[in-house]
Amino acid sequence: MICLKVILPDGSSRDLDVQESPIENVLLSLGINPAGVIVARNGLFVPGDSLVRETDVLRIYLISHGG
Amino acid sequence: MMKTPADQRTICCDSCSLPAVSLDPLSGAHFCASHFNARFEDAVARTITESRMILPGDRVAVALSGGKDSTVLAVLLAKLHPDLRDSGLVAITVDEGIAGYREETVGSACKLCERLGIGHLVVSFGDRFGATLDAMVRESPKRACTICGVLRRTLLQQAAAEWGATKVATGHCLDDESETALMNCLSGAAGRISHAESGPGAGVPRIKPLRAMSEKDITLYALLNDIPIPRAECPYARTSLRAEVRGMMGYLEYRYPGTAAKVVEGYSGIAESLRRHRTPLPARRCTLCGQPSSGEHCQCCTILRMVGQGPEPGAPTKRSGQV
Ligand SMILES: [Zn+2]
Ligand SMILES: [Zn+2]
Repeated sequence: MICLKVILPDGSSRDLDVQESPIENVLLSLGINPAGVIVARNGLFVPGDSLVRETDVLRIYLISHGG
Repeated sequence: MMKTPADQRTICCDSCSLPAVSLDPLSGAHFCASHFNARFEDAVARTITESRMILPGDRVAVALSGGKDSTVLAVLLAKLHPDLRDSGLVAITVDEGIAGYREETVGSACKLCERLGIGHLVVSFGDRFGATLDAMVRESPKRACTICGVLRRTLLQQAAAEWGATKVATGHCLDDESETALMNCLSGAAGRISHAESGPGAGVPRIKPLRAMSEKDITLYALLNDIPIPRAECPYARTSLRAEVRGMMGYLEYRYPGTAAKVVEGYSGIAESLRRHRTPLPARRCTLCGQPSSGEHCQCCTILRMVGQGPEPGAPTKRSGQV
């Protein structure tokens, strides 16, 4: 089965069985606040309202805090 | 407006046909990397100009912790104010003595200054106060952020004044400002709301050129421009009320974009009108160090005594590389 590969901020990865869907929904399903992250789809930064599908790699960058 | 080029899913920049990297949740506008960068830099330049933060002849000390906000600030000040580069801009890094965290950030601060070609001063709690933050808070790590905040500010002010700075630039961003506003309200300390950060007796005036920028945009700017961001987070940050307020504000910002900016705007208005109605306190000086103070002892001396480090008159600032 082909799955969406999600690389989490800590470097670990998760395979998700999703149809084409907004990144926002993927993040929410992982319990991640979309306002608190930046995402790259297949190596390119994309706005949060972009779509992902099962053949994509989605990398999530946590917004680091502090000075 | 969404155009649909080759990959049907690609969302284009509202100002050109390149792929967008960012969405402004307030306006719904999309930006490509170069339009995002231009807009970001324009916004910071506007904040500086509108509030007359940097004037001809100013000597600016940028507080460079080595974290993302201060790193982006140092890069932008060097870029937006090339006139300062020769001798009008220096970076000051305070090494609080936090094991497993400061090594990486101090190292990246040094590298950055070399790359930007600006002077760099490193001052440490150990040298100035006789103990590292780790040692000071061994028994009560929960107080770390309070203790660190006061001591860091004091040390930064001392080092900036010694260098002859006319302004101290800090990397405080919109998120920091909104969290502080909310925290002051939550703690019920009305006095703190009306407290002015600059003004007579407050030392070298502070400026916050990133105060209108969100952490998200600052992070994206750093990522797009290959500005190195250390991964380490301060181990004490988790123990603070700020961490909980941040989570709350993050949720509100997602649900209601623009909340942080509104909190800051409303809070500034309240603080301003409180200040207008406040009877100024008589000018006093700390009986231990002689610095302006609202009570017998200043905050710094109070804290130093609490953690068992007597107040010491400032030792000479150590230069980078001499640490
Ligand atoms: Zn563009
Ligand atoms: Zn004092």
